[in-house]
Amino acid sequence: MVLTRSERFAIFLERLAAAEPTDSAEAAYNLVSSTLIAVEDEFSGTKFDPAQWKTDGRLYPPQLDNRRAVAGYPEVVRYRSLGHHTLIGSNGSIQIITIRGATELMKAGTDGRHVWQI
Amino acid sequence: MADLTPIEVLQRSIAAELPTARINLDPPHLPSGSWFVDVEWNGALAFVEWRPLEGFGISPENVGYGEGPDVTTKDSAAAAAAAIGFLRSQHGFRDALIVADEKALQTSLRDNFLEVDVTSDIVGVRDAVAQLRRHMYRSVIVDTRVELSHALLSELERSFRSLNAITVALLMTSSPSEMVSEWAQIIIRHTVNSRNLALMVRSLLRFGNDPLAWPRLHHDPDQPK
Repeated sequence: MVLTRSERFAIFLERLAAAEPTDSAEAAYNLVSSTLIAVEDEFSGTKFDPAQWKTDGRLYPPQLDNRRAVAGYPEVVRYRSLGHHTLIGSNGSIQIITIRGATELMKAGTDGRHVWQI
Repeated sequence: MADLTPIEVLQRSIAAELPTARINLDPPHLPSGSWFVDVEWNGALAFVEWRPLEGFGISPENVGYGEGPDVTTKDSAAAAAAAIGFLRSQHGFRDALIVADEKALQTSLRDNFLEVDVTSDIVGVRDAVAQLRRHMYRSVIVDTRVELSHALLSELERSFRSLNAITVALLMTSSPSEMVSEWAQIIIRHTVNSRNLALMVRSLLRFGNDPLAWPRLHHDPDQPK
C-alpha cells in the first residue's frame, strides 16, 4: 500500500512516539533513522537509495554530516534538513521542529528528560 | 561578483530582488555538510540547501520531513530565482489594482483589461491604502488627476520596493473619459537591469507598431490587422 507523504510522516511520528525511549544520542539517532526507513519501505513504494534522495520522493533520515552544535546546550546536537531541525540529546531525547519553530515531536530519553532539560 | 562564493551570490541575488526579505544562513559544522539558506518574505518561507560539490536544492515551506528539494540546480542565479518564485507563489499575486474615483474610467479600464485577460481590482483613492495592504499586486494603475495622499504615495513606494511591481500612472488630459486610449499617458516605474530594460523597450516598440499582434489580445476576426 502506497500512502501520501503526510500520511507516512504521521505514521513515522506515531511509531517514534510509541517506541521505547533511548539512553544515548547515538541510539536516538538510530531510532529516528530506522523508524523512518521502515515506514518508507512499507508505504512509499520507492526503494531505499540514498543516492536518489533529491528526486525519488522518498523521505530520508537526517544526514550525519548535517549535524550541528547547539549554542548554550553542549549536550544537544541538531541535524538540519530542508524544512526541519531534528534535535537529539545525549540522554536519548528527541525533538523534531519545523524551521518556524513548531514542534512535530517531543520524546524524552530514558531518564524522563526532554532535549531542553538536560 | 567574481570573488563571491555561490552562497553569497545567491544571498545577494535574493536581497536585490526582495530587499525586505529576511535571509538566515545556517552554515555546516562539518566540512562535507550542507549550507542552508532560509528566506522569509512577507510571511512566506523558502529553503535553499547548497552542497559545494552537488549544487543547490530549493523548496517551498511545505517540504516534507526528510524530503528532497523541489528544484535542483548548480547555478546561483537560478537557485535565487527558484526561491523567489516559491515565495511569490505563496501569495497569490493579483494582476492589477486600478485606483480611480471616476466611475466611467473604472468601468472602461476594467472592461478593457478583461478583454486582454488581465484581471483587476478597482478601488477609489480613499480605499487604496487598505487594498494595497490587503493584497499583493503586480501592477497598479493610478489616476493622477486626483490628489494622492502622502499615505497612499508611501504605500505605493513600499509595495513597489518590496515587490518590484510595475506602476502605471495615468496622466489625464481634458479629453472625455470614453476616449481613454487616446488621452492616457503612461509612466512606468520598474526596477530592471540593462538587458531587461532593452527587452522591455523592444516589447513596447512592437506594441506601438502593432498592438493587436501582442500575445493574449483577443483578435476581432472582422477587424483587419
